[in-house]
Amino acid sequence: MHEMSLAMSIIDLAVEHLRREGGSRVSEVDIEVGSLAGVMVDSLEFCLEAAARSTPVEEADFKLVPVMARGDCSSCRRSFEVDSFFAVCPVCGETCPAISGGQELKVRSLTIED
Amino acid sequence: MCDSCDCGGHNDQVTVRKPGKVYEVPEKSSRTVQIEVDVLAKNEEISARNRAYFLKNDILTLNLVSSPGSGKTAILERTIGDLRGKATMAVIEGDQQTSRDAERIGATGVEVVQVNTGAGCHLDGSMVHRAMHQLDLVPNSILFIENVGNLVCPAMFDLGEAAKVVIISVTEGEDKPQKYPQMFAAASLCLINKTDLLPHLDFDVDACREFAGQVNSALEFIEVSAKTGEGMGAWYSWLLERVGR
Repeated sequence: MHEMSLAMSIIDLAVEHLRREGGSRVSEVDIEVGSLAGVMVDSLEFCLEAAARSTPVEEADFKLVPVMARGDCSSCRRSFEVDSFFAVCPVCGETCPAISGGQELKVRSLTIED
Repeated sequence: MCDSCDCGGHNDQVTVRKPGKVYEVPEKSSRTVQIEVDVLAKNEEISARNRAYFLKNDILTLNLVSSPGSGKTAILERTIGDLRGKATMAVIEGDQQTSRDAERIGATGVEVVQVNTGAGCHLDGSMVHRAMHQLDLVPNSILFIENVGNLVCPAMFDLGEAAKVVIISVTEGEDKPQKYPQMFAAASLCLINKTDLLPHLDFDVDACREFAGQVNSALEFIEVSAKTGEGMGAWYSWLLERVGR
């Protein structure tokens, strides 16, 4: 449910940068979403459309770019992508890898129309 | 734009021209601006200010998070009663609606303020900022923030606290840490509450600790019963070791 407040923050950010940069509207917003960020992508997409209504971001394409967290196996030292806190090493089957990244929720770029 | 069939909204693509006449094509350009801004940056900025204030004034601020009904308010009522005279405490209560929890805490005699989030599923930095200005906070004290009962959303929103304390009651499943790992990953201490009911339930305390330890190996555990007071002494020691530091 917190996706609505996240969507509203994203729209506020886009409108603020549009004002700063000058332009008529935003046509694309690129957003990085980490695999362990606690965000439901479908829900965020739905909320972005609702939150963008009647703003200069209304017609924008929202590109949600997944960013995978990485796990480092404590046993065989392999590094692999993880999408859960309970990841298992695909090579040796060891549990509890050291997890890094995957928590990001970031607006990378905006495409602004003059 | 036409509301019924969405047919309009493309006037910038329409051209009206006479044959043989030369028209200037108006220049339309678009540009991509790299901004690289964290979506939660605004909340984190406000929460960092809250945290600086708490640190400067030696106020130990704890963000209490759990599912609804795990006994957050009962733990606070008992804690406030038992630590009276040993620590100065204040409470920010978060709920979608009603001031019931603030009335319960208010009856213990400590400073309390209720935040009603309306439709919101979590507290954020600015709500806490507004609430703390309504409290008479004193140095070397404890500020408990009882978040909205929800094991999902409050994990993402920093309030400026020193630590998150996650509470799970034994009437829930021991697999809660597997189902809601985000919150257990973000917490520093886990209180396992309602242990007086253990003889009547199948709740496996060791399995619960193991599941939570898999997402957060540094997580500490204290088993308590807010009803009988069993185990609460360990929780009080945990608090008193940290207050005023």
